[in-house]
Amino acid sequence: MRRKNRFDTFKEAPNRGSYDDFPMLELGIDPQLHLSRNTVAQPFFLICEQDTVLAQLSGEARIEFRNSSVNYFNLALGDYVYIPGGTPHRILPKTESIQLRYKAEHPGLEAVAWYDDSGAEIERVTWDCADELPQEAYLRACTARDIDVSPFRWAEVAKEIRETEAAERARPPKDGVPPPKTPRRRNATAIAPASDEKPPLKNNVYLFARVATSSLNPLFPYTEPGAIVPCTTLQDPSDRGEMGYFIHSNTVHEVNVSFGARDSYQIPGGCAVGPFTHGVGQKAGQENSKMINLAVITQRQAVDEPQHEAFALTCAQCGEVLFRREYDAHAFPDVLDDEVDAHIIGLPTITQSAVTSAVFNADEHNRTCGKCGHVNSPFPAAYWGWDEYRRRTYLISLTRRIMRDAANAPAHA
Amino acid sequence: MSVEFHRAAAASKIAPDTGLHVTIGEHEIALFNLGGEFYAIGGICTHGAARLAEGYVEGELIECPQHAGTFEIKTGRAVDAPCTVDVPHYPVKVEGDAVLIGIES
Repeated sequence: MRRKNRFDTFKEAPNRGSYDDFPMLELGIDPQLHLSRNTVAQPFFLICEQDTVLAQLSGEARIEFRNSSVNYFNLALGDYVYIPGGTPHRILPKTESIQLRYKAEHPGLEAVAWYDDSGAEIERVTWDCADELPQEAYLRACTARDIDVSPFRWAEVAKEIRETEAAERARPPKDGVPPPKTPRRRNATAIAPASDEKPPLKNNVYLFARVATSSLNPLFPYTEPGAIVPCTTLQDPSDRGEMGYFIHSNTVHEVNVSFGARDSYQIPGGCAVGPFTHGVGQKAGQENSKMINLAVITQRQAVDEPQHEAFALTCAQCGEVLFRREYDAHAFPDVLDDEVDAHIIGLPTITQSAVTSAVFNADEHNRTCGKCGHVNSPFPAAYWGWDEYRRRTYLISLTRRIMRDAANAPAHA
Repeated sequence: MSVEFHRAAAASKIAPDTGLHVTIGEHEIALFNLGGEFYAIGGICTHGAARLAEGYVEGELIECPQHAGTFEIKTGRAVDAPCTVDVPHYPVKVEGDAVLIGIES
């Protein structure tokens, strides 16, 4: 198969088997999406050095953990599980389960392990993904323990991955897209255990999107460098009115998975990665009020390098860029004149978009096209809910501190 | 109205079945090599803001990298949803290793 930055999960899944963990997107995409169609219990506990996120696209399953404050989660359609690096975990399908796993492009060390009934580790096999594919290591480790590997196709899958990677590297680079980096071998040989401060978490896309206040809502509170940040987004212009149109630029990839779409460019189960600079919303004259799409947009926060984003608004008449704001995607714009609680910090992508659209709307000069003279309408920021997210982030941070101070007041001493 | 040809790129820099984004004056252009023949169409998708040269060449179509709408590389005609508005196409000629694109002036 040719790896592309767009695929239909339900069309591709019949070609996949249990724990194939097949990387679907082009080389260089971070986070990478790995597809499996699991029908039997995972014959080991998997430990990844870096954080991963599991998404359940069909069927039911259970995920068990070891050495964690969480024992297990049951999984159903729309469940996302955040698995912090160093957490041993194993999947037990109850029915055929189509699952996507988000992983860092270069996952570093991985391991499989087995535990006795008391929870004590019996054996662990660790490898460096720069040297060995996980599928090759699964096969090696299971064969050494005389585990029946007949339900799995790891040798074939590894061969297919090597072939697709070779084809990717031989392909002429796309214009404007840096070539994929070669993975670097890790100096470490052991995976550090997960921190108690960062437990595995589960959220469900369908439940969460009902109560989400913005058009971009992080499913988990983990947003630090290296964190995988899946955010729900629900587009329904028939109910909420005009979406407007803006251009978003990012220095990290945005991986989009649809969890239900109609009259949209997206299809249910469709996965797509757009270019770093991309239009969002509907251009004037191209509105589609029937469109609905519930999707999860995921980015992996940059590590040891700057992460920049930009938000630009264009003239509805001639397309000229009217207003552009670049920002550091690690910085929270604390223009609400108060300290922000680090426990409840907002996602900069949302808070910065809120600030930028407010500045644009406040001044007609910003909305007047220097090229064609058209005076543009204010951007329909209310549709996107960014300011609501930002306002609530501030209020929740404030109320948490009020509660903490009340608990520490002398009357309670 | 006359057509003025501008040097856009070296032919050897555009591998077969790939594209290159070039800017000539105010024109953003996607220049493609289809089996040794060169074609130039508008460089920005009429649906989103993506550069078509960053998309996938599928036969004689270019698939937009953002929403997968397609355009005919030879004509700029919008073929698949969500793209409904054509991109312009430009005359191309090759002189030695230079690919030249014609712009109406």
